[in-house]
Amino acid sequence: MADNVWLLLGAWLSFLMALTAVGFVRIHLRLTLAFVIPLAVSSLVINALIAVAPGEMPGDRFGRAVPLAFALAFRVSAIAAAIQLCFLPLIANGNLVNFLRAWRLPDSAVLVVIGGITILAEVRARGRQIFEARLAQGLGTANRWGALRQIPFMLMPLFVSMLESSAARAILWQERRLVNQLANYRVTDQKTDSACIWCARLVVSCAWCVAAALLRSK
Amino acid sequence: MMSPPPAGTHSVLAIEGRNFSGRSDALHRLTKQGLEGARASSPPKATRANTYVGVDAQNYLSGLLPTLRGELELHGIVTSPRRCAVEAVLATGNLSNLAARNPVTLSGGQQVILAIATALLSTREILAIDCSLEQLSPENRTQVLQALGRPDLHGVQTILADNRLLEFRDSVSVQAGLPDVSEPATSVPVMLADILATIPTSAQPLGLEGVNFSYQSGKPVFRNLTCQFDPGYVHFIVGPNGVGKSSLGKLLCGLFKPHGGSLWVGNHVPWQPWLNPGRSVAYHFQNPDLQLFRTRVADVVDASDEVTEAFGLTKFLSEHPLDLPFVLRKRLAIASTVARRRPWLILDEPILGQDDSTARILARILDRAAASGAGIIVITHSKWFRSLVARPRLLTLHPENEREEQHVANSF
Repeated sequence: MADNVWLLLGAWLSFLMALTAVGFVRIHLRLTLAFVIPLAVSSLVINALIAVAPGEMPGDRFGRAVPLAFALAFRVSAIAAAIQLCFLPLIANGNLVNFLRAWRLPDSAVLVVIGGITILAEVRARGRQIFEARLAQGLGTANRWGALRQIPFMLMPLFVSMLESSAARAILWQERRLVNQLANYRVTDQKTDSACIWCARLVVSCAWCVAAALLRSK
Repeated sequence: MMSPPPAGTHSVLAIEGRNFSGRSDALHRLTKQGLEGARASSPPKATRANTYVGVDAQNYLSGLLPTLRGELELHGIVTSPRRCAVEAVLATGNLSNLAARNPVTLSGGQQVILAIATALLSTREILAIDCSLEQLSPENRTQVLQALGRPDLHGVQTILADNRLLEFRDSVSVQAGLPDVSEPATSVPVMLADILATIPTSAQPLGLEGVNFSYQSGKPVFRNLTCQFDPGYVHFIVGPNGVGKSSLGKLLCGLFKPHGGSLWVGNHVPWQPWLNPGRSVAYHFQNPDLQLFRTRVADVVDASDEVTEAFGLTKFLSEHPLDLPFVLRKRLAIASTVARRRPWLILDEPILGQDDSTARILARILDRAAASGAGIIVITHSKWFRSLVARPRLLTLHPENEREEQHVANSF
């Protein structure tokens, strides 16, 4: 199954439908665009043009390299989709806190884990502000390539502001006991509490177990 | 030894003083030790009954939940006995209607209001606010101060460090001063030099014609906005928090592209600043930390530059910019923006955290730059600061996107 392109495509599409149902499809497609497609293209280039056996010409393996690249892309996408489906809904509804505490993690460790997750939105917002500040000083251009070239210069202020922000937030969370409150927090209109998420998670878990059992039996 | 306020009062207490007079230290101490601790001769253990809200309000939001409603519910607004007072605070920034917004996307002033509201829900004794209120419009600030003085806050004592208190003595009952604030550890006199030559005089008029603009997920910020800015004046953009003052500045700087209408320069020549942002208009952001990209002050500003001397930065040339206190980081960021030598200069809340003497110096600098023909636009809520400038022009942005432009030179 792990090398069958059609089966992998089917698995990925199933996960994609589940992600669509729970509202995380955009996050997954972003991952596909930023990581999976470049990975597949690299695989195609390496296997078709660079890795040439003695007696072969570049391009001779193209016919075999294409399904290999597709298999790689669908395999990574399916695994990533399954992981996202299982773990993304855990964030921000307090289940993650209970989940970590069930492992007997101390609150200090829970704070570190939660901080690592919540900081992502902060990084994005601050990164945007720093990029705008550089543009305002006439440094760089607003297009995508210009933005990429700005990254080395943005790291220092971004890193420092994130550290400061993390330190301030950690104190704030402790002082206001927000981790405790998050563990008990429920919002009725939050998408992540919907029953379809639990169903989707259950289906993924069952499918995973069945697939693993079948593969092992072979 | 600092004299703490009398227990059981609900009025707002203010600590007066200049920059580096130890006000922030006093607030931190009160927050950590509480009123009884500050009164005691030996320092007691830290208390969790108090909260502190600093200048960078975003750091005082939990960031744990992606909506404003979630942030408030996480802090227990549903069951809090202070719910009415907190809702009064939230109503000032029109936050009651923004329950589904991500707090990260709010304007600076709205983030301050939300930070104060959540702090109120968590505080048992002291709420210390360090210069944050300077980011609020006069109307919003008055309403927030009134809400903080409500009797149903159940013993919460609000203590402010604020540089613009003179403007608000009539609107609320502010008790002035803790008399024996500790001596400053460092004193940084700000020298004024003639920085006239540092700002070019080639600025041309610029303006917007029927501009429409909105963020990706939100209602329009500007609808059919038309206005003009002329060199030789200090233009002040004013309006309630969240109305789009910073967005207008960013449109002029080229950081945003309008969705409709046009921008022009000189004799109504079409102008597209978004093609080369920051080339004609330099923009100083509210938060100085996000615009300091080098590892030494000397790399941010030229050591021999008059601006460096004017802002009292010469003795810190070998320091890391982010090691400096907020007040100096703010001055350094302004100096680096001025040093870009652009024809137009936009300053977003330039006197945030700066005491009166520094504000007066900045006003003189802006006056002289404007007199030499430079284009200056300032976003500030301080009426007092506007009164210091010789040739001010006022552009008021209303939530309904109506525009009112007027000369205010005679108003003061």
